[in-house]
Amino acid sequence: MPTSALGNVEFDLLLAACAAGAGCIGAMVGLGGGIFLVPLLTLAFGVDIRVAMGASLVAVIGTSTGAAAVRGTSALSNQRVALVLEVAATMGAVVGALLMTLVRPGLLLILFGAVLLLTAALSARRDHDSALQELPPNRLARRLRLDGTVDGPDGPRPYHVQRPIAGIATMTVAGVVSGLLGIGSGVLKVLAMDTFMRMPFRVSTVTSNFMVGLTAAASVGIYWSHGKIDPHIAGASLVGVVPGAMLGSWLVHRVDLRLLRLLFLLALVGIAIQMIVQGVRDERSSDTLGAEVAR
Amino acid sequence: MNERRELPTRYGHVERSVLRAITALSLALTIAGLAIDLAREGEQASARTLVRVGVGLMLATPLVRLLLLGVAYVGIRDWLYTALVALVAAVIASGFLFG
Repeated sequence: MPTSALGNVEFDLLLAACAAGAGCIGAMVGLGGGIFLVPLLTLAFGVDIRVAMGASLVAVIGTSTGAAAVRGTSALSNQRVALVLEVAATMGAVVGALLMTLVRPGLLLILFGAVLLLTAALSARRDHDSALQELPPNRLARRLRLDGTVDGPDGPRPYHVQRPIAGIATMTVAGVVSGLLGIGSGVLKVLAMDTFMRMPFRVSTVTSNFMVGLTAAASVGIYWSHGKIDPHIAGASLVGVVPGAMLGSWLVHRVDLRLLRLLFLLALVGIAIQMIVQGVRDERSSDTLGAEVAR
Repeated sequence: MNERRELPTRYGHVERSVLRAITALSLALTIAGLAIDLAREGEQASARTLVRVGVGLMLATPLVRLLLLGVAYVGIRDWLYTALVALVAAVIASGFLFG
């Protein structure tokens, strides 16, 4: 962590500006700012990855809250599905955050790079918008009253939530990934709701926005207790990422997203490779250091 | 038993107003703290406290959202989802209390 840079005007302003860009692009392509913020803080600013992940969790909560403060919780959002899945996701996030305290920073970089590659792959397949199909009701989903309605061209149409157990299992993994790597895991959440539970894509994305804040909150306490939330870095990131995400939410209906999405995917792959390379270097140097100490 | 009762429309309005107020206050405190810290170029305890409170307020918003949601479910007597809200809030609080 560049502690020498703390309190430095250029550092704070540059960090806030970059966080605003991360929040804006994240909101435009349907992700939280965290996926960009962690690589930005570690690769560009030289911040310790765990502190970067702590700042990212604060930014994820800020983005989720900021979006709800601007637009309100959309009528599309399925709060019951969110709550059922969040029981698993928050528990997973606590486990992930505890794992974070045990895993070496080099390995965290490699894992983060791998998750970025997975995010790029899943985002690329999100170009499809699954057509709303008539599906039979699921017994468990019915008992939990998870089914809902969504506006279609011919008025409101009901949808039946499928495979809630598969959704809960995926959400547990999403929670562990969120706690371990300090991200919202929005892509995995949308995957669970859209693909496994067969919910309409728009409902999945707005429900996911509510959920990422809850999942991040479950692990942020553990980061805070272990001194991984640097208020200065988290604060500078927060004041950038929240207005950035609000701007992105406003711009999303006003610009052509196809080129932006392509550039975003290429950038994500490039950043992932850089993080993996940096992680392998860190792991090698820590092995070398360990061998020298042993000698 | 399986009848789905919807949350009242008022819940959305209240949630948005509360979140707007907290977000504005959190950002204002954080910006003020950072600005004081930068202007005086040093270890300013008051500036650090402002930033801490600003960030802390933002971290509390998911629990505030759960509290509002819990009140809304109590209002429509949906005890299953009131219990789920309490469970999620307990897991989140456990991270802060036992982390």
